[in-house]
Amino acid sequence: MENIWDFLAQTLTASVAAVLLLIVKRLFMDKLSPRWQYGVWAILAIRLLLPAGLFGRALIPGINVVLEAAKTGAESHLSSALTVPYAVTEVVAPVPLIRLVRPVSVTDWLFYLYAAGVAVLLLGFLLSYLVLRRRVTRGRTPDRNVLERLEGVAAQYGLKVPRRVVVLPGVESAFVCGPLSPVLVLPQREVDDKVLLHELLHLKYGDLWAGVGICLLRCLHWCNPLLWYCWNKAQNDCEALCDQRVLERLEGEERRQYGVILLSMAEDRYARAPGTTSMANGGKNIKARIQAIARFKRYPQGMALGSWCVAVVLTVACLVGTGGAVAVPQYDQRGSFALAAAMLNRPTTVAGALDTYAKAVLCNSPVYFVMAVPEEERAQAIQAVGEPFEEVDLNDSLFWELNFHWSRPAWQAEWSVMNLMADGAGGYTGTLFFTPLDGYESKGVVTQQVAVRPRDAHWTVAALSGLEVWDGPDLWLCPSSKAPYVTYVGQAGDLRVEVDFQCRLWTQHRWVEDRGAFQLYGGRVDFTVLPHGEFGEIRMGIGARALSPETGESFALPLTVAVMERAGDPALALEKSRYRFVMDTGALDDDPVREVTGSYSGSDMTLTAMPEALAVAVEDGSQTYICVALPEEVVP
Amino acid sequence: MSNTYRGLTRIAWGYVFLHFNFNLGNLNVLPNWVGYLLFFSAIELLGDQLRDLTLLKPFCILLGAGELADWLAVLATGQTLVEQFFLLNMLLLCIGIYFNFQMLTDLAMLAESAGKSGYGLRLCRNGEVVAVTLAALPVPWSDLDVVGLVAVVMLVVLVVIVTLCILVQLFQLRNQFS
Repeated sequence: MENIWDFLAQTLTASVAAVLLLIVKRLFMDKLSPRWQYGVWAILAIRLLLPAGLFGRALIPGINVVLEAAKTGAESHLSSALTVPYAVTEVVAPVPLIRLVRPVSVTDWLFYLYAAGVAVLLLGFLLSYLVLRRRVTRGRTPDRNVLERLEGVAAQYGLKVPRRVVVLPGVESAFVCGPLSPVLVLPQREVDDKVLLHELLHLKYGDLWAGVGICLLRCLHWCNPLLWYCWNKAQNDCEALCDQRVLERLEGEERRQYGVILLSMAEDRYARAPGTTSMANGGKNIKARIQAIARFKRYPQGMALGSWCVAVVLTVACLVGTGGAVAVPQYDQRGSFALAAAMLNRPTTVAGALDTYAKAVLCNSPVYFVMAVPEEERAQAIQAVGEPFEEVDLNDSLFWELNFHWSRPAWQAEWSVMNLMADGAGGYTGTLFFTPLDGYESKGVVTQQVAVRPRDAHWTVAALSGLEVWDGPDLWLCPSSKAPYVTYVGQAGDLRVEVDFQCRLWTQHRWVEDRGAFQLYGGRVDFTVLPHGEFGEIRMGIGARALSPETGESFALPLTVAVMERAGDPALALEKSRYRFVMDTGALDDDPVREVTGSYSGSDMTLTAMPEALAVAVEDGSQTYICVALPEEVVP
Repeated sequence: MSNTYRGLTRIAWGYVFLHFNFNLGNLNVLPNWVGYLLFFSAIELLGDQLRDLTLLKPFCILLGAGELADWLAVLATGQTLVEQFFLLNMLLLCIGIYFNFQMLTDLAMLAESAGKSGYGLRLCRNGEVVAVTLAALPVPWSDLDVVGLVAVVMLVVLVVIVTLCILVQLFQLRNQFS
């Protein structure tokens, strides 16, 4: 937790889990044993130790949008040193991580206050433990008969006696102190064997350590009263479980006597101290324990597997949550909630980033730009999202000049990306193509050079050029010399091989129907973005020639081209590659270029960018030469 | 006709309503909430013999209400309601797991108290609860290709077999009290 919003996300998630656990425990109070009742608190403890929103999952879908919207609303007017207003809240650790920077805003101060509270409470617990421990050292060794009785109880039930046993004046009831070197502290008055058994059982089952853990968790969320209430309940459940363990070891009348002892402690003062357990834990809690004792052996029997399964489902609910995605905002949404939904839906795939950016251009939607563009270019779009939406005609763009069809919310065009090429730094560059979708009197295609880059777990799109017009009809692929291509070059025997490769990728767009009073049927593209989408269609155009490196003369030789990885085996690629092309005779009489086109679609496409390398086979008479061709020249 | 016989008949038919669906468009003519209604009336009849069974009354009401809300929602909108709320759905799943488990445990005890074997019912009970719990785990079955498909098919087959076995045994148990 690095800022107050991280803490809020963490404590809110824990509170939701706590409410669920309290409801379930209430429902199963008379049905499942104290072991189960105490054990399920482990789920809350683990929940508190897991960062909220882990793997993008939440207990209540949409709760993160509310938190992000609140953060954006509050932080946009502040200049916090600890919080980036438009970055998504991501809890990296369940404990406060302090950066030593000067607090600037109220939220910075609140976080420091929270962190200070954790430290003060930890110190407070530690001090109170040390004071108690010091007091215990002043206790006197009990009489021999008391020790013998204690050893007798331990021997009878197969338990260990702590190394130190002391009698401390002023103590109202027995307790065990110190998880590392436990001391059994006894009051001056005589203590019943059953009370001794109770404390020895605490020792046997490591309840002191559980108490220390609960103390630490109290400190972490010191300002959340719901969690304090839960930990009080957990400590009471621990005592109730210990009661159960005692009763399991007692017989008949002894059980009734144990209940009477417990009742007699109802008026005792309950001084909770960290690292201790005490049978007397306050009148109200003792009442609940008496009720639990009354249910002893009345819980339905044979329920072990069932209760485990209920606990597993509860664990899944509280720890894993649901992956319910935050709804993608609409193009015309504005305000903090739209901004939060946009930030939580940043693209996670290359295709998703391009889809979001392309639709942002076509809809002129700032909320979509926020999702797609890099952080350094986001400010203008964020400001636009903060302003109220106004319906305007988008008549000052190239699309208007080219007579693209306009249907709210967007220019009716499909987008594709040409020659998506790895840039060597983990990203890609390519050319976006906006093509009119119908036979409207359009005079061309709009293009834009873009760079797609990874940023943390997301992808961003940056424009490398402005929107440009490509006159004439939509470009088809090779052998169109107009379309941009990449030339791959290799050496096969004595021949130089040149392969012009073009590749165009589409995502699948969805249609929505428009039905109006004067329109029996109409349709338009659904411009809701698909930030996590994948490419669904690829078309490739390839032109290849074999020529003499000395004279430049081309030879009409049979050629086969296959897509391969740079370090792959070309012979194997030519044999097995899914993208393998036997080149046809070209259409140009004066240049023996060989050409071919290929088209693939579906969700199982393995090629979603320009290939790293091509395997080329050239047949020269009875000889077949195989080589690897690598990209050499990019024609924009 | 004894209360035990009538109670067991209602439980057996309750399971039929609970596990079989017959849809006419959006209308499920074997609604699950009727199953819980039958269970509730059966608890009234068997409560004297099976003390623990009466603990299930509030659960029966909660589960029945959830199923009724779902049934109405499907009828009106074609979509279930409870599944829209993750935590509520999980809460009802916990209750459902416990409810079925305890009811079958109690019926096995009833069989044993009448000198019959409750082993079959207990075995089916265990199979059912494990299958339901496994199905609730957030395992991305669809990403596991063949392994996922095989696991899902096995789980479905297990549930079908166990359900049929429970039904057969419930009717057999009922007949023993005729």
